[in-house]
Amino acid sequence: MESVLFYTFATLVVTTALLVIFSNHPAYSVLYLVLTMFGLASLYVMLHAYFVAAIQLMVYAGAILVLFLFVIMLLNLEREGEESFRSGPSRWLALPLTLVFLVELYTVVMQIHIKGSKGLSVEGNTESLGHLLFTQHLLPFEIISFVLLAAILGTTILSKRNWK
Amino acid sequence: MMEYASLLIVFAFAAFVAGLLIFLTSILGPRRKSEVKEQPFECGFDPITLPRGRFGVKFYLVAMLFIIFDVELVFLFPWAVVFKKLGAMGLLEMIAFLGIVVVGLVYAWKKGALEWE
Amino acid sequence: MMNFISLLHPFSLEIGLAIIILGLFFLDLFSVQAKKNIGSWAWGLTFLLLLIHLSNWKHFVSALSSTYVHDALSFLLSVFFLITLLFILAMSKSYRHRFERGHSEFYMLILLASLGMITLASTTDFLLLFVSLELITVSFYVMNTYLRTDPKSIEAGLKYLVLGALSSGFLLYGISFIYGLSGSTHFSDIARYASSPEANAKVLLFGFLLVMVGVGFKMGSVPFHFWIPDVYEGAPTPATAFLSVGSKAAGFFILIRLTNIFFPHFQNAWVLLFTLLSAITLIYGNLGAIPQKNIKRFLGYSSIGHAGYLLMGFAAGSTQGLHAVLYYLFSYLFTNLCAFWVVILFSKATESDEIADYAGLSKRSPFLAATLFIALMSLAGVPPLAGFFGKFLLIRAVVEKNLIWLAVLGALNVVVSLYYYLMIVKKMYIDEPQNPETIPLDPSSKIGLSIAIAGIIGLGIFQAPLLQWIESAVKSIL
Repeated sequence: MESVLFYTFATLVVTTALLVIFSNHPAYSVLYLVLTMFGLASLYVMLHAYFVAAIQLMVYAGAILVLFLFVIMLLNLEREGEESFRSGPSRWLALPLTLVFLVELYTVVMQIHIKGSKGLSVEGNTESLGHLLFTQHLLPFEIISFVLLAAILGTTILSKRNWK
Repeated sequence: MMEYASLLIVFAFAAFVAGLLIFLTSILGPRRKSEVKEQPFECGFDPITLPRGRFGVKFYLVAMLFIIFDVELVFLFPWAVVFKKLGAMGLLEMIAFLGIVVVGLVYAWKKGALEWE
Repeated sequence: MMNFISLLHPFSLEIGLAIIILGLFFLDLFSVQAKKNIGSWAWGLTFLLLLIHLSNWKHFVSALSSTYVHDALSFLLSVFFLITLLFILAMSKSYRHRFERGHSEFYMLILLASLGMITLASTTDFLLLFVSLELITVSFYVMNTYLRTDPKSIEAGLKYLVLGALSSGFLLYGISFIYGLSGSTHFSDIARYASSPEANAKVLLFGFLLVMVGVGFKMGSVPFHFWIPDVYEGAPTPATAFLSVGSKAAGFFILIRLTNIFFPHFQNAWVLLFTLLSAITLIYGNLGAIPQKNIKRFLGYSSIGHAGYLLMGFAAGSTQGLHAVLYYLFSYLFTNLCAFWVVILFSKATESDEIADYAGLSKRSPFLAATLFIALMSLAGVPPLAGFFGKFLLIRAVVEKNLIWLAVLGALNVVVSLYYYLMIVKKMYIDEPQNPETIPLDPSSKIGLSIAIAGIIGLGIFQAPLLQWIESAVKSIL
């Protein structure tokens, strides 16, 4: 049952991710990306990472992709820009390099024997995450607030129209 | 794991119903194409511009600020779960975090990023 | 409450910098008077912080289940970043005229990036490492795009954003492999796993290679260098200077911390990887610099070349190699910042970054020309300047490991680089100026440049104190 579910969601993630790249219109790409995010969230649920799954839906599928849609509508992409983006000699270098990487990845993944760790206990998942975050990993947590501060600063200064 | 099976069934059922409705309308609905029907409609005029207009950049500003505060909120959930265990320390940690982000909010406010002009 | 204060103590430097940042926010928002001099405020407070930090020497601690350590190495690195920060803040003042929107935000972004660098100096955990790197990168996204009506600056920001995000993705993927194997993000746990019998060296190597993509982006080594010329050219010059010293050094510092974990377990692959990277980077950077017409682009290519020299220290993989890398970075700090400061002052007077316009600089401003001359000679590695001794240490470390051909390649590249650096010197001293107006200089820039020159010459002649300090710092992580 579990492997059936896993392969269903994994196929969903991979196909929609490919569709993101290959669809002609950026707005469709974003909609496929929403599906990818949903698929990933289901995979997280299967790993008992419920908190991460919920965050994935809230932040990525909910907020960030809406922003993507905004930006695409903001840009109002015309067709002419697309061709030059796709061609170029580096494109032909990309294919063999990607293949090498995939073969490498395959051989490496085939070697891993991860000792069955189902993550943390099912109930206390968010709790143990919170505990780690606020004791051992306190400094990264506080640094994140500065990352957010830099982001607020950047957004305001770069995209505010009238400055005072 | 299995306790979420019911959730999955609901999802599957919803997807099935939605798919069924789309499928049924596409085969049951009558289709009579004509040249006039295929044209975009613009109050009787010939279409002047492309239908997709540009959005103002202010939407972007609001959406971006929303995401930043959304990410900030995410950290409140694991904190709320362990709040009692952490005690006063946890409170101070969170006050420091929120305080720094609030400085950013005050900054955005003072610079008028929250105004719709 | 006592508990809380004792918890804070190890982080006094970070907290100090955080307070400066937040304080500047309030000065900027609520005081019209202070807003005008916010650069001086930032500089003065940071200088105070550096003095306090130096007086805290030898208070080494670790905190947060030792995901954060304050050892001799992190002390050295934080001093490196604080000196860089002081230089960048000072030279941003000369660039103020280009900011049509508030200049105070630019100072804050510089400080925010420095906060990331300073936490990076003390991290012994991948999670903290990633978050600090992100803080640095996010601040640079904004700094590079800061001249928001200049298409070149927008291009710089966009290229940095796209490639930076991609390299962060690789870094995270690599970290997840390492975490999946060892079950921990902590450096010492990973080292313990790597030396245990069940360790899977191949997968560990794969994870390390992915991490290297992210780090290589920061260092600007080939093949992760594509962003450098365009970003260096388009970004505001203080941001370029900061990228070329602070951000580049951050990459090398990460690698120094990782050397002990990974080097003993796949020595052959490590030596092969870094010799190749170093050789390609050296050749690419030095040949790429020759045809450049824009001085910022030119310094960008030369910074790729310097990444190649620095990688030689890792190809050696020895303690001597690490000493050489650290010494080279310190000499590079003074030399490169000095060169960029001259570029800023020159562009302030002439609004040009083209090398052709540097013709006859010695007649327009003998001081600037002499300063740039010394900086370029140090970059090329002419004795008795700092750059020479750094290169000497690196080549010696490589020769000790019997990588003779890499040493020869390094020496050949010194000759190539001497050629293109001398081309600029010829322009400044022999060619006639098109516009003979003298270039005015304010006293504070003169003092700053003199300090940088003193650093270049001082590190070239009196190597012992810094070298001893570096040796004790490297000893602390062995």
